[in-house]
Amino acid sequence: MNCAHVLNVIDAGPFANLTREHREAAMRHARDCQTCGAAVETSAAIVSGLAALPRPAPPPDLEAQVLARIARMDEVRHAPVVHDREWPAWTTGLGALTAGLTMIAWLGTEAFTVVAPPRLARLTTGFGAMPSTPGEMFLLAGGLLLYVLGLLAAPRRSR
Amino acid sequence: VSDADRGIVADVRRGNRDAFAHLMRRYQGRLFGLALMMVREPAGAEEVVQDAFVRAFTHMERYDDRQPFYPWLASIAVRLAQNWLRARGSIVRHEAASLDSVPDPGGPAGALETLIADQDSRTLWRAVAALPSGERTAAFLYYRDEMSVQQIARALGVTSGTVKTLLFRARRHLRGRLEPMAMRGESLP
Repeated sequence: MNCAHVLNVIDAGPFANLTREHREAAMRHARDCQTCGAAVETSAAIVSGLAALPRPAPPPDLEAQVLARIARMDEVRHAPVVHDREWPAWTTGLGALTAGLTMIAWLGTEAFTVVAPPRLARLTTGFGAMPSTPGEMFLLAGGLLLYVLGLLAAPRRSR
Repeated sequence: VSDADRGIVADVRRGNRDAFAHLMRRYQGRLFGLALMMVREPAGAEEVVQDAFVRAFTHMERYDDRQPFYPWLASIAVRLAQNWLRARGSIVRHEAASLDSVPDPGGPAGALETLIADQDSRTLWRAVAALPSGERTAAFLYYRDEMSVQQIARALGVTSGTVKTLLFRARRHLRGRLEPMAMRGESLP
Protein backbone atom coordinates (compact mmCIF):
# COMPACT_ATOMS: atom_id res chain seq x y z
CA MET A 1 0.00 0.00 0.00
CA ASN A 2 1.57 3.29 -1.07
CA CYS A 3 1.25 6.86 0.30
CA ALA A 4 -1.32 8.00 -2.28
CA HIS A 5 -3.58 5.09 -1.36
CA VAL A 6 -3.22 5.69 2.37
CA LEU A 7 -3.86 9.43 2.04
CA ASN A 8 -7.08 8.60 0.18
CA VAL A 9 -8.08 6.35 3.06
CA ILE A 10 -7.29 9.11 5.57
CA ASP A 11 -9.34 11.70 3.68
CA ALA A 12 -12.25 9.31 3.18
CA GLY A 13 -12.37 8.90 6.96
CA PRO A 14 -15.34 6.80 8.06
CA PHE A 15 -16.48 6.33 4.45
CA ALA A 16 -13.36 4.49 3.28
CA ASN A 17 -14.58 1.28 1.73
CA LEU A 18 -11.91 -1.11 3.04
CA THR A 19 -11.66 -4.66 4.21
CA ARG A 20 -10.24 -5.19 7.67
CA GLU A 21 -6.92 -6.38 6.16
CA HIS A 22 -6.64 -3.27 3.99
CA ARG A 23 -7.46 -0.99 6.93
CA GLU A 24 -4.77 -2.64 9.08
CA ALA A 25 -2.28 -2.34 6.25
CA ALA A 26 -3.06 1.36 5.90
CA MET A 27 -2.62 1.91 9.64
CA ARG A 28 0.71 0.05 9.58
CA HIS A 29 1.85 2.21 6.70
CA ALA A 30 0.81 5.41 8.51
CA ARG A 31 2.76 4.34 11.61
CA ASP A 32 5.92 3.80 9.62
CA CYS A 33 5.59 6.72 7.17
CA GLN A 34 6.31 10.26 8.37
CA THR A 35 4.13 11.90 5.66
CA CYS A 36 1.10 9.69 6.23
CA GLY A 37 1.55 9.79 10.04
CA ALA A 38 1.40 13.60 9.91
CA ALA A 39 -1.66 13.41 7.69
CA VAL A 40 -3.44 11.18 10.22
CA GLU A 41 -2.68 13.62 13.03
CA THR A 42 -3.76 16.67 11.02
CA SER A 43 -6.93 14.97 9.91
CA ALA A 44 -7.83 14.02 13.48
CA ALA A 45 -7.13 17.60 14.63
CA ILE A 46 -9.40 18.95 11.87
CA VAL A 47 -12.28 16.66 12.78
CA SER A 48 -12.08 17.45 16.50
CA GLY A 49 -11.52 21.14 15.79
CA LEU A 50 -14.62 21.32 13.56
CA ALA A 51 -16.75 19.67 16.23
CA ALA A 52 -15.47 22.09 18.86
CA LEU A 53 -15.78 25.31 16.89
CA PRO A 54 -17.46 27.97 19.01
CA ARG A 55 -20.98 29.01 18.04
CA PRO A 56 -21.37 32.66 17.16
CA ALA A 57 -24.09 34.21 19.27
CA PRO A 58 -27.34 34.96 17.41
CA PRO A 59 -28.76 38.49 17.62
CA PRO A 60 -30.39 38.99 21.03
CA ASP A 61 -33.74 40.05 19.55
CA LEU A 62 -33.99 37.18 17.06
CA GLU A 63 -36.64 35.32 19.04
CA ALA A 64 -38.73 38.46 19.54
CA GLN A 65 -38.47 39.35 15.85
CA VAL A 66 -39.68 35.92 14.76
CA LEU A 67 -42.59 35.91 17.23
CA ALA A 68 -43.57 39.42 16.07
CA ARG A 69 -43.61 38.25 12.45
CA ILE A 70 -45.78 35.28 13.35
CA ALA A 71 -48.15 37.58 15.25
CA ARG A 72 -48.39 39.89 12.21
CA MET A 73 -49.21 36.90 10.01
CA ASP A 74 -51.99 35.97 12.44
CA GLU A 75 -53.42 39.50 12.29
CA VAL A 76 -53.51 39.36 8.50
CA ARG A 77 -55.08 35.90 8.56
CA HIS A 78 -57.81 36.96 10.98
CA ALA A 79 -58.52 40.36 9.45
CA PRO A 80 -62.04 40.65 7.94
CA VAL A 81 -62.05 39.92 4.26
CA VAL A 82 -63.30 42.79 2.12
CA HIS A 83 -64.96 41.87 -1.15
CA ASP A 84 -64.98 44.09 -4.17
CA ARG A 85 -67.50 43.52 -6.87
CA GLU A 86 -66.31 43.46 -10.38
CA TRP A 87 -69.12 44.95 -12.41
CA PRO A 88 -69.38 43.48 -15.89
CA ALA A 89 -70.43 45.97 -18.54
CA TRP A 90 -73.73 44.19 -19.22
CA THR A 91 -74.75 44.34 -15.55
CA THR A 92 -74.00 48.03 -15.36
CA GLY A 93 -75.84 48.71 -18.61
CA LEU A 94 -78.85 46.71 -17.49
CA GLY A 95 -78.91 48.53 -14.18
CA ALA A 96 -78.74 51.93 -15.86
CA LEU A 97 -81.53 50.95 -18.30
CA THR A 98 -83.79 49.76 -15.49
CA ALA A 99 -83.11 52.87 -13.43
CA GLY A 100 -83.83 55.06 -16.46
CA LEU A 101 -87.12 53.30 -17.24
CA THR A 102 -88.18 53.53 -13.60
CA MET A 103 -87.37 57.24 -13.56
CA ILE A 104 -89.32 57.87 -16.76
CA ALA A 105 -92.27 55.91 -15.43
CA TRP A 106 -92.27 57.89 -12.17
CA LEU A 107 -91.92 61.27 -13.88
CA GLY A 108 -95.29 60.76 -15.54
CA THR A 109 -97.18 59.85 -12.38
CA GLU A 110 -99.48 62.10 -10.38
CA ALA A 111 -97.26 61.64 -7.36
CA PHE A 112 -94.49 63.47 -9.22
CA THR A 113 -96.76 66.38 -10.14
CA VAL A 114 -97.59 66.78 -6.43
CA VAL A 115 -93.99 66.98 -5.20
CA ALA A 116 -92.34 68.65 -8.22
CA PRO A 117 -92.37 72.42 -8.92
CA PRO A 118 -95.30 73.27 -11.28
CA ARG A 119 -93.02 74.29 -14.19
CA LEU A 120 -91.11 70.96 -14.03
CA ALA A 121 -94.38 69.03 -13.56
CA ARG A 122 -95.81 70.62 -16.74
CA LEU A 123 -92.70 69.66 -18.66
CA THR A 124 -93.03 66.01 -17.74
CA THR A 125 -96.78 65.64 -18.18
CA GLY A 126 -97.40 62.70 -20.41
CA PHE A 127 -93.71 61.87 -20.35
CA GLY A 128 -94.38 58.44 -19.01
CA ALA A 129 -96.71 56.47 -16.88
CA MET A 130 -96.49 53.80 -14.23
CA PRO A 131 -97.29 50.44 -15.71
CA SER A 132 -100.95 49.81 -15.37
CA THR A 133 -101.54 46.67 -17.45
CA PRO A 134 -100.36 43.20 -16.42
CA GLY A 135 -98.01 43.13 -19.43
CA GLU A 136 -96.31 46.39 -18.43
CA MET A 137 -96.05 45.25 -14.81
CA PHE A 138 -94.51 42.00 -16.01
CA LEU A 139 -91.93 43.84 -18.13
CA LEU A 140 -90.93 46.13 -15.26
CA ALA A 141 -90.74 43.25 -12.80
CA GLY A 142 -88.69 41.26 -15.31
CA GLY A 143 -86.27 44.15 -15.75
CA LEU A 144 -85.83 44.52 -12.01
CA LEU A 145 -85.35 40.78 -11.62
CA LEU A 146 -82.64 40.78 -14.29
CA TYR A 147 -80.96 43.66 -12.51
CA VAL A 148 -80.93 41.82 -9.17
CA LEU A 149 -79.69 38.62 -10.83
CA GLY A 150 -76.92 40.63 -12.48
CA LEU A 151 -75.86 41.95 -9.08
CA LEU A 152 -75.77 38.48 -7.55
CA ALA A 153 -73.95 36.96 -10.51
CA ALA A 154 -71.19 39.60 -10.48
CA PRO A 155 -67.90 37.83 -9.54
CA ARG A 156 -66.37 38.78 -6.20
CA ARG A 157 -62.75 39.76 -5.73
CA SER A 158 -61.20 39.46 -2.28
CA ARG A 159 -58.50 41.77 -1.04
CA VAL B 1 -36.10 12.68 18.07
CA SER B 2 -36.05 13.31 21.79
CA ASP B 3 -39.29 12.98 23.73
CA ALA B 4 -38.85 16.59 24.83
CA ASP B 5 -38.73 17.80 21.22
CA ARG B 6 -41.73 15.66 20.29
CA GLY B 7 -43.74 17.11 23.15
CA ILE B 8 -42.74 20.65 22.26
CA VAL B 9 -43.62 20.14 18.60
CA ALA B 10 -47.01 18.74 19.63
CA ASP B 11 -47.60 21.88 21.69
CA VAL B 12 -46.55 24.09 18.76
CA ARG B 13 -49.01 22.27 16.52
CA ARG B 14 -51.74 23.10 19.01
CA GLY B 15 -50.82 26.76 18.56
CA ASN B 16 -48.69 27.21 21.67
CA ARG B 17 -46.36 30.17 20.98
CA ASP B 18 -44.36 29.67 24.16
CA ALA B 19 -43.49 26.17 23.01
CA PHE B 20 -42.24 27.56 19.72
CA ALA B 21 -40.18 30.17 21.56
CA HIS B 22 -38.65 27.30 23.52
CA LEU B 23 -37.74 25.51 20.29
CA MET B 24 -36.18 28.71 18.96
CA ARG B 25 -34.07 29.18 22.06
CA ARG B 26 -32.89 25.60 21.75
CA TYR B 27 -31.80 25.77 18.12
CA GLN B 28 -31.18 29.39 17.20
CA GLY B 29 -27.45 29.25 18.05
CA ARG B 30 -26.78 26.23 15.83
CA LEU B 31 -28.94 27.59 13.06
CA PHE B 32 -27.40 31.04 13.15
CA GLY B 33 -23.90 29.49 12.96
CA LEU B 34 -24.97 27.47 9.92
CA ALA B 35 -26.55 30.45 8.17
CA LEU B 36 -23.58 32.67 8.94
CA MET B 37 -21.20 30.05 7.61
CA MET B 38 -23.19 29.93 4.37
CA VAL B 39 -23.99 33.57 3.68
CA ARG B 40 -21.10 35.10 5.69
CA GLU B 41 -22.97 38.22 6.58
CA PRO B 42 -24.56 38.67 10.02
CA ALA B 43 -27.52 40.62 8.59
CA GLY B 44 -28.05 38.02 5.87
CA ALA B 45 -27.71 35.18 8.36
CA GLU B 46 -30.28 36.79 10.63
CA GLU B 47 -32.68 37.17 7.71
CA VAL B 48 -32.21 33.51 6.76
CA VAL B 49 -32.69 32.29 10.35
CA GLN B 50 -35.80 34.42 10.87
CA ASP B 51 -37.29 33.15 7.62
CA ALA B 52 -36.38 29.57 8.53
CA PHE B 53 -38.14 29.77 11.90
CA VAL B 54 -41.21 31.44 10.43
CA ARG B 55 -41.39 28.81 7.71
CA ALA B 56 -40.89 26.01 10.23
CA PHE B 57 -43.77 27.41 12.29
CA THR B 58 -46.12 27.75 9.35
CA HIS B 59 -45.21 24.33 7.91
CA MET B 60 -44.95 22.42 11.17
CA GLU B 61 -47.53 19.91 9.93
CA ARG B 62 -44.99 18.74 7.32
CA TYR B 63 -42.42 17.81 9.93
CA ASP B 64 -42.22 14.07 10.59
CA ASP B 65 -41.77 13.88 14.34
CA ARG B 66 -40.22 10.42 14.12
CA GLN B 67 -37.12 12.21 12.78
CA PRO B 68 -34.87 14.59 14.72
CA PHE B 69 -36.06 18.20 14.58
CA TYR B 70 -32.79 20.00 13.89
CA PRO B 71 -31.99 18.38 10.50
CA TRP B 72 -35.47 19.34 9.26
CA LEU B 73 -34.97 22.90 10.45
CA ALA B 74 -31.43 22.98 9.02
CA SER B 75 -32.68 21.77 5.62
CA ILE B 76 -35.09 24.74 5.53
CA ALA B 77 -32.28 27.12 6.46
CA VAL B 78 -29.90 25.65 3.87
CA ARG B 79 -32.44 26.17 1.09
CA LEU B 80 -33.22 29.68 2.23
CA ALA B 81 -29.50 30.47 2.39
CA GLN B 82 -29.09 29.08 -1.14
CA ASN B 83 -31.97 31.31 -2.27
CA TRP B 84 -30.33 34.24 -0.51
CA LEU B 85 -27.06 33.55 -2.32
CA ARG B 86 -28.89 33.03 -5.61
CA ALA B 87 -30.67 36.37 -5.22
CA ARG B 88 -27.27 37.98 -4.84
CA GLY B 89 -25.85 36.46 -7.97
CA SER B 90 -24.43 33.19 -6.77
CA ILE B 91 -25.72 30.20 -8.69
CA VAL B 92 -26.41 27.08 -6.68
CA ARG B 93 -27.13 23.85 -8.50
CA HIS B 94 -27.70 20.47 -7.04
CA GLU B 95 -24.61 18.80 -8.38
CA ALA B 96 -21.39 18.31 -6.51
CA ALA B 97 -19.28 20.09 -9.10
CA SER B 98 -21.63 23.04 -9.25
CA LEU B 99 -21.94 23.22 -5.48
CA ASP B 100 -18.17 23.36 -5.30
CA SER B 101 -17.99 26.15 -7.84
CA VAL B 102 -20.47 28.46 -6.13
CA PRO B 103 -18.80 31.83 -5.82
CA ASP B 104 -18.64 33.08 -2.26
CA PRO B 105 -20.42 36.27 -1.37
CA GLY B 106 -18.15 37.64 1.31
CA GLY B 107 -14.51 38.11 2.11
CA PRO B 108 -12.12 35.32 3.02
CA ALA B 109 -13.61 34.46 6.37
CA GLY B 110 -16.20 37.15 6.54
CA ALA B 111 -17.87 38.24 9.71
CA LEU B 112 -17.68 34.74 11.11
CA GLU B 113 -14.03 35.06 12.00
CA THR B 114 -14.53 38.26 13.93
CA LEU B 115 -16.98 36.45 16.22
CA ILE B 116 -14.39 33.89 17.23
CA ALA B 117 -11.91 34.93 19.87
CA ASP B 118 -9.79 31.80 20.09
CA GLN B 119 -6.78 31.95 17.72
CA ASP B 120 -6.68 28.23 16.94
CA SER B 121 -10.36 28.19 16.12
CA ARG B 122 -9.90 31.26 13.93
CA THR B 123 -7.18 29.44 11.99
CA LEU B 124 -9.55 26.55 11.36
CA TRP B 125 -12.42 28.92 10.49
CA ARG B 126 -10.20 30.63 7.96
CA ALA B 127 -9.41 27.29 6.35
CA VAL B 128 -13.07 26.25 6.40
CA ALA B 129 -14.11 29.61 4.96
CA ALA B 130 -11.72 29.09 2.05
CA LEU B 131 -13.44 25.84 1.07
CA PRO B 132 -15.82 25.80 -1.89
CA SER B 133 -19.43 26.28 -0.81
CA GLY B 134 -20.66 22.69 -1.12
CA GLU B 135 -17.69 21.23 0.75
CA ARG B 136 -17.95 23.85 3.45
CA THR B 137 -21.65 23.25 4.04
CA ALA B 138 -21.29 19.46 4.03
CA ALA B 139 -18.32 19.55 6.42
CA PHE B 140 -20.09 21.97 8.72
CA LEU B 141 -23.28 19.92 8.86
CA TYR B 142 -21.45 16.62 9.33
CA TYR B 143 -18.69 17.50 11.78
CA ARG B 144 -20.15 20.51 13.59
CA ASP B 145 -23.89 19.87 13.54
CA GLU B 146 -23.50 16.08 13.66
CA MET B 147 -26.01 15.42 10.93
CA SER B 148 -25.90 12.08 9.12
CA VAL B 149 -24.89 11.76 5.47
CA GLN B 150 -28.53 11.01 4.56
CA GLN B 151 -29.80 14.06 6.41
CA ILE B 152 -27.21 16.28 4.70
CA ALA B 153 -28.12 14.79 1.33
CA ARG B 154 -31.78 15.70 1.92
CA ALA B 155 -30.86 19.22 3.04
CA LEU B 156 -28.64 19.85 0.02
CA GLY B 157 -30.85 18.01 -2.45
CA VAL B 158 -28.05 15.69 -3.55
CA THR B 159 -27.30 11.98 -3.22
CA SER B 160 -25.52 10.42 -0.25
CA GLY B 161 -22.62 9.56 -2.56
CA THR B 162 -22.27 13.23 -3.45
CA VAL B 163 -22.15 14.17 0.22
CA LYS B 164 -19.40 11.62 0.84
CA THR B 165 -17.47 13.06 -2.09
CA LEU B 166 -17.89 16.58 -0.72
CA LEU B 167 -16.68 15.44 2.72
CA PHE B 168 -13.70 13.66 1.19
CA ARG B 169 -12.72 16.80 -0.75
CA ALA B 170 -13.26 19.00 2.27
CA ARG B 171 -10.98 16.92 4.45
CA ARG B 172 -8.37 16.82 1.70
CA HIS B 173 -8.51 20.58 1.16
CA LEU B 174 -8.41 21.33 4.89
CA ARG B 175 -5.49 18.98 5.39
CA GLY B 176 -3.74 20.58 2.45
CA ARG B 177 -4.12 24.00 4.07
CA LEU B 178 -3.43 23.11 7.66
CA GLU B 179 -0.71 20.47 7.35
CA PRO B 180 1.97 22.90 6.14
CA MET B 181 1.24 25.02 9.21
CA ALA B 182 1.62 21.99 11.45
CA MET B 183 4.92 21.15 9.71
CA ARG B 184 6.12 24.69 10.51
CA GLY B 185 5.28 24.06 14.15
CA GLU B 186 2.21 26.31 14.26
CA SER B 187 -0.58 25.05 16.44
CA LEU B 188 -3.62 23.36 14.98
CA PRO B 189 -7.01 23.45 16.55
